[in-house]
Amino acid sequence: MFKRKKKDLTDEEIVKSIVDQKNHDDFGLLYDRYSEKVYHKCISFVKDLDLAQDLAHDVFLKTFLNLSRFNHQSKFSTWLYALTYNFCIDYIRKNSKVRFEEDDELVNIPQNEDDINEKELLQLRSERLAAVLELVPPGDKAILLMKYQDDMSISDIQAAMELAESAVKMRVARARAKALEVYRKTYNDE
Amino acid sequence: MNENPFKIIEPREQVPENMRKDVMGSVKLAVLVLRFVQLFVGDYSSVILEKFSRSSKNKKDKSEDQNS
Repeated sequence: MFKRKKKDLTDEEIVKSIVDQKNHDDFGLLYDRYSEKVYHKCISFVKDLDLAQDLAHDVFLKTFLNLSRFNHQSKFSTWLYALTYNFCIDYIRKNSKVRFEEDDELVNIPQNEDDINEKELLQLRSERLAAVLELVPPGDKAILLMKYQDDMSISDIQAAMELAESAVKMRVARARAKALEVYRKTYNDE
Repeated sequence: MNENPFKIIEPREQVPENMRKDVMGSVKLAVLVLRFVQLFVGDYSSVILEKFSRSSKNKKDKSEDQNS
């Protein structure tokens, strides 16, 4: 029977090859597919390129060590991005000089208010948005990047964060509101 | 229509060439360490099991009785 080339395997088939057949070198295929994405996500959180490289290295090592825990319920990419975001969030929480006010309370923001927030957020000037994202808590930043940079659906975010759909929707709405609150505080004199 | 500002601020830096070598080197090392640990843990537990297992002891005792 015709044997498929390794590069034609799906991510999930590669994971099985590594975990079940112990083909550890196949991890290089996953690295080649996702190194750019992971590295860029790390840069989004730490800016310093050397540090971003160190973080990306650690994310890949952690990914390898946790591959047997990948349960194939979500896409491999979703699982990897969630691991990357969580790794960066933990790093920022432990090492940032900025003290973020993170509250776990989920307030229900009325739909019409949230729609206006979304429109306003997507109209911000890019350099101001970048500055605002440096000041919002890392968890809120991650959820905004998942939604608007990675184009992840609510169900993808749900799978990545292991939360209920309603909780994800509330967190996305809260992150939007938080970013705009920071924006208004920072640029209120203009 | 305005372009999504989140897309504009997305980093575009090239992945450092040495990163692949570093990652795969660490993965190889991790595999070695895991094998090493498994070797010891495996031997350790099987030795303990052999020493303290009741079922294998009973089996051994029975076969010794039959032989005598």
